[in-house]
Amino acid sequence: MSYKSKPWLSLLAFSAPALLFYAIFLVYPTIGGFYYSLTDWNGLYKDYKFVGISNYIQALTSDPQFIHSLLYTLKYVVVIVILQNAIALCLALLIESRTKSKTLFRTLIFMPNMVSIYISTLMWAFIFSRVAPKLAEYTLLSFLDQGWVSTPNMAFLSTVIVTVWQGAGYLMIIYIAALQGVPKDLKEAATIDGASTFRRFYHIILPLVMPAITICVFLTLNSSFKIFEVVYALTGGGPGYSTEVIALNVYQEGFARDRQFGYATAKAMILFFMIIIITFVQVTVFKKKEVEA
Amino acid sequence: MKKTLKLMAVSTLVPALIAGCSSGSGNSSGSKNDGEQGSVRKVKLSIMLPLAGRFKDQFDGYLKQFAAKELAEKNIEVSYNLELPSDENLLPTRLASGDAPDIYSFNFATKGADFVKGGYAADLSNEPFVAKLTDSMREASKIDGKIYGVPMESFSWSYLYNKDIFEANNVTPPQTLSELKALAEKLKGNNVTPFVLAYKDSFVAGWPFFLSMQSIVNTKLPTWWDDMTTDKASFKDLKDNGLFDVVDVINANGNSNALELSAEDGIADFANGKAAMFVTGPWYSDSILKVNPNFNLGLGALPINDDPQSTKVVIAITTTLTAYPDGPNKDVALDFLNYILDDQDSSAFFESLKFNKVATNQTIKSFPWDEDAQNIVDAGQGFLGLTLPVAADQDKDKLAQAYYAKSISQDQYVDSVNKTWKKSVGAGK
Repeated sequence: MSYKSKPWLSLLAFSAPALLFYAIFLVYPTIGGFYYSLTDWNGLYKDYKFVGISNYIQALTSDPQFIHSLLYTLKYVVVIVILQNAIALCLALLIESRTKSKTLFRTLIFMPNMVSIYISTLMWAFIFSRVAPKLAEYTLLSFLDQGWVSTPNMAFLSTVIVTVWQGAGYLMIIYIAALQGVPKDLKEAATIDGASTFRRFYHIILPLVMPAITICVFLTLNSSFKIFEVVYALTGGGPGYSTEVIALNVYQEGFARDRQFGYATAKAMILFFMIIIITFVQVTVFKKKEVEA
Repeated sequence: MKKTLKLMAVSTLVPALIAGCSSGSGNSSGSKNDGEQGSVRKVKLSIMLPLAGRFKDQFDGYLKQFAAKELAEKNIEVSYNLELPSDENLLPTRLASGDAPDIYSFNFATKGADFVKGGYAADLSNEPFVAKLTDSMREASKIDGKIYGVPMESFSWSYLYNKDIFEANNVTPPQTLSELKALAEKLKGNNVTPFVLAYKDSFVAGWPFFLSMQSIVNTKLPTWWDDMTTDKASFKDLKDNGLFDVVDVINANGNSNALELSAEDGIADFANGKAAMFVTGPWYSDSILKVNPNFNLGLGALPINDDPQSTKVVIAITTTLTAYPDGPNKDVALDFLNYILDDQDSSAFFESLKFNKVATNQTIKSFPWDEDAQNIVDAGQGFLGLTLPVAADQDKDKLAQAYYAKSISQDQYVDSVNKTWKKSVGAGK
């Protein structure tokens, strides 16, 4: 029997270990999760009932808290996707424009990404509660002394600051790689033709780093929809429920409150489908804008 | 084809190998060769005490004592695997997946009924230890008239105060709300912050509400709790009886930036004398003394209105140990539970854990703040706190933050908690 006639067999064999892990640790739990989302299991008792899609209906029609967290998460996603990518791209451009000390700045800005997000959030919580008021006291920066997580708006701002600080460095590395891939001759040709810095960026560089933008927007969309640690460690969803993002809402529903595990899983499934649809649309749209040099 | 088969076999064996490597258990049972003492029975107990990492050494020591006793008296060689996860959710997961530990602990005040309802706690009503419990403890640790665990940790609590600050400002614990207000004014006049407010953790924000509601229900609305289940009462009844009075006094007389400070921050501030009072229980006494070993800690009853009869401490049973009803080593597990209240060894064990006395056969040196609490209880001003439905409990805490931040009104607070409570009770069946 020749291997050429059935290439899929050896392909399958070589990817079998990965596939196996993927199936055990991802596919199977996902299917299990979907099944539990159709039940009223509380995560503890041995018996539970099959309740069809009533969990989904309840989440979307009669759970104002969930709808609030859905809208709040959307707001957060929009702000994070724009801010994080814009800042990362600017940083990448700045660093690429330097001749010396490139590596130093690259390392410094990437550094926050190497600390676990939970730890860095705890560090920020300390900065907000202890350092900022003291700084305000000893310097003239009086705006620093305020309730950073005391009001819904300030809490939102604080989570955005921490997320951007933590994530921008990672995206920056991707953008730097993309910028280095832009052919020099194109840039030079544009300069000779008299293009301004802005036009050079807009018409030459931007289209050529579009693949990187596709990836980065995809990554930020994906991660900001699933944001949990920052909110959990910084505000715990508070004050009240004002900063409760979907993932935290799901967690609370399943592991605290009334331990409605089935119901929480249904909410998680809704989040899952939402992310799939939105990222699918995003990738398709962005792909169309990509060009090759 | 053979090659493919081999590949497949390898790919399935590799995970098996990896899994096999990791399953070496932490605690070797020290197996001896057969031949001596013919019929030594070997038992390995698995014990899970969630959120009890700070008790590891004490339990390790006591389990070793127990193993020696069991070997001497019953010829059973006991080894054990003690797990103290910092995540509460590991235990329910283990129970639900059929991988139950032989012995585990739960928080009686908040989670007790859950485990009993799920059928995960053995009925221990006829065990010898039950007779040793003090009468009040025995009554307090019943669920539907039966005992499902050994109550180990219990607290009488209301608020903690800094005795040195009280002395320096020449004030004593207030008996009425008016006295509390006057005390707060006096302290503020002397440039002392009356209350530590550390509301970043919502449960801290909920404590003043908890004390206020428990005392109102205990003194004025004895059937309220049951009436909530039958929908005859409403959370608004509490508001009408002054639920918010003491909360407003506390919130108005504390530090600013309360929502930035976690419970740990609050403990540190209180221990360093930045404020005179902290609405919390003596479960933080250890942490406070760790920050400031010379701290002079006192415990008082929080007045909630101008009737001194309502100024009470709440009694709560927390850490409770129970056995899994269908465990293979249930008899040994029960031996251990009984050994917890052993006539000889129990007192030293409880003292090392800094737990209060729960049984008549214990003599335990108590701490000054526990004596404060005991005096209040002895004066008839202590009562067992009732358990809120978990969702309502959390709602109460979360909205306490929002109420402090002034983003919701009293009516919104009452409406929301009422709704959550009713839904919870309905959902609980």
